[in-house]
Amino acid sequence: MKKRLAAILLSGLMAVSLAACGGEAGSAGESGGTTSEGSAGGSEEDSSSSSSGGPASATDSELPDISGEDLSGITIGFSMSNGSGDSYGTSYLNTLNSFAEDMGFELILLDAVGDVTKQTNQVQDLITQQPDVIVVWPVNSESAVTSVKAISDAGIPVITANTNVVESGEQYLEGYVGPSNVEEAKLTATQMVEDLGGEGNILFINGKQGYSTSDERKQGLEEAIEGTNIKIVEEQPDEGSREKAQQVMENYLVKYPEGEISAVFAQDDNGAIGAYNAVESAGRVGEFPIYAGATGDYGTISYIEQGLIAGTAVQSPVIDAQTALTWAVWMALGNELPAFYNYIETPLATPDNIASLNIAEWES
Amino acid sequence: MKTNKWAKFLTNNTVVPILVVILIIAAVLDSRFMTPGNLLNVFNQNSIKGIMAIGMTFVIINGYFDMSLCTLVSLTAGLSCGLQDQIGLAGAILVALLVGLLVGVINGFLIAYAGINAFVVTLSLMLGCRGLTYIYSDEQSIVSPSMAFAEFGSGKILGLTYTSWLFIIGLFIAWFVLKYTAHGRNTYAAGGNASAAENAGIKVKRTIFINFVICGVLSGLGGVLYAAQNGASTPALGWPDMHMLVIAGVVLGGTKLSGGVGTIWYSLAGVMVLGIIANIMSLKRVQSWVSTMLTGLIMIGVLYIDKILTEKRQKEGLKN
Repeated sequence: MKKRLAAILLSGLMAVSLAACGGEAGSAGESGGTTSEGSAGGSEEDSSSSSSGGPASATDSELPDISGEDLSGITIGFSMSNGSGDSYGTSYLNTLNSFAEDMGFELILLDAVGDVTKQTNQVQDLITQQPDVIVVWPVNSESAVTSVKAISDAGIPVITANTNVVESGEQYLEGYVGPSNVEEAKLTATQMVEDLGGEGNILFINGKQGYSTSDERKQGLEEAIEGTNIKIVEEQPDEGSREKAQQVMENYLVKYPEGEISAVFAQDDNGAIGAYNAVESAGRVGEFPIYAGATGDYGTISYIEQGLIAGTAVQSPVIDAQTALTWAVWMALGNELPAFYNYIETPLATPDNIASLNIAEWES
Repeated sequence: MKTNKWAKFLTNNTVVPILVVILIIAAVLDSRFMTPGNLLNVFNQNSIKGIMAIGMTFVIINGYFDMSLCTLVSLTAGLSCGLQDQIGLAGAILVALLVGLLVGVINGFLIAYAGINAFVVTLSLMLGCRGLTYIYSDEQSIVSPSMAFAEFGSGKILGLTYTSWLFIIGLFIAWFVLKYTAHGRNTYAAGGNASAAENAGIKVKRTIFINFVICGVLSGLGGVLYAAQNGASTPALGWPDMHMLVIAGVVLGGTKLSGGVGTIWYSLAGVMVLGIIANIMSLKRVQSWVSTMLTGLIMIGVLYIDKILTEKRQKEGLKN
């Protein structure tokens, strides 16, 4: 609780400038930033104006500039959730490696490839190597508690990135760096509520089950439609694959004839594109809008430009990875995180505003 | 004569030289490997897999294998966490183990008595358990309300986790059962030649049945221990290849998939060889998939050498 309060009070820090923070790994550390929202829900209108500032309640400050420091003696351990699950994870992993190389510090990167037990073991192997700071991107928020505890017990500072551990594990952390999955989905779903005029029957395509990201995006969706007349008529998981999402949508289309679906909400862009593919081959394009809780693949941007996806929160793996590492190095240099929750801003993109967002391209 | 004996021992137990070679390579590759802390770490990391490998060893010596382990672990992990609020920690663990037993009974009955193909049966149970896990857990992770459970999972005596001690005790019990009891001898006989064993008056069906039950209970226990280790369960636990890694450990040790040959110590060595490979890959920061691929290559290499040595032995007229 104390940490949470501190986070609200301190809620300092930066707005990500998606525009300024491009693919050049070397310079991104200077221009990128994070938004610490604390518990103050970011205001949606603000998030579209990328570089000027984050939510109204947050004061802007810069990501620390670590490019001038001598980082040769620094070792960062990174336990990654899954570097080969989707294109977001792949670009994230590649960015970690290239950023460490460009900045000249040592990175011990172990990829759990989505396996909970593998992550537990790899964290132990990381502890053996005694890095200055360990960053954990948990495969599972609950299971990772014992891992962050083990790191903390070994006297190594630990932060979580991208997915946080559950509250009982936060006492072992120095902080969290990453986007808020709940806020992302909430942001998109709020846009959907607005588009639908507050009522309708929607179909939900959830992601990989048992993974915190899916659960949190679902929570965001539920929070956004609470109190409206929008109902989730059915929910099916897509197991994180575009093909499975397409199958799910094909079944939905058979089950729900024209006029019965107001919108489709997929947990991420993979699910939304899978759904779109099914809608297209059934010849039912334009019947209802499709939303993606969040987008981590740069290729999805063109779907939004064409209006095939009606809304999504854009999350750049390059910025996310660089921000996490920058803070870890900052800590290894003997500094403290400015806040406990260091949220990275994820702007809402719609066909109308996508051009004005100037989203910098990232490899995927 | 003495050197001859050693040579015979080494060619009969190929996993021993393999383990030694892997240990030497690991020690040369990274100086941190041979530290006591890291060696204990490797043992602790692989003790749950080892416990499940004990059950799998019984089934494999019997000439079968059990794939249901893969998702049974997530089911029993979920139950051991989720039932605590209703029936207490001890009750939850007991129910989880009973579910493991029940899955073993179903496997054993369908394979031994109904005569259905083991691949199909254990595959079906694997899918069934996966579905049940997601239904029971409502697709969510379940946190263990009891702190004692998580403390057991991470607690240590003399550098070894409680789980590791359980594993060591389990190894000795399994060794005793396989070597000195009628059931153990029946398992070798049934796995070596089922019809000959049947003719010799051994109750082959009952032997198969019991071995699947052993494997079910120990897989269930594995799930409970994973839940204790993490203080929580996730429905994705074990999926998709936990059973394969356990079988790989057993087979790498030298226990034959065709049945009739093997010891529990082979499984210990096999599981540890895989564990050492994973550990040294982590220490050398090798990408996970490269590590997985190398494990596959090493297995092929080891089993090929084993095959050649076996043929050589047979040519020389030595008894297997």
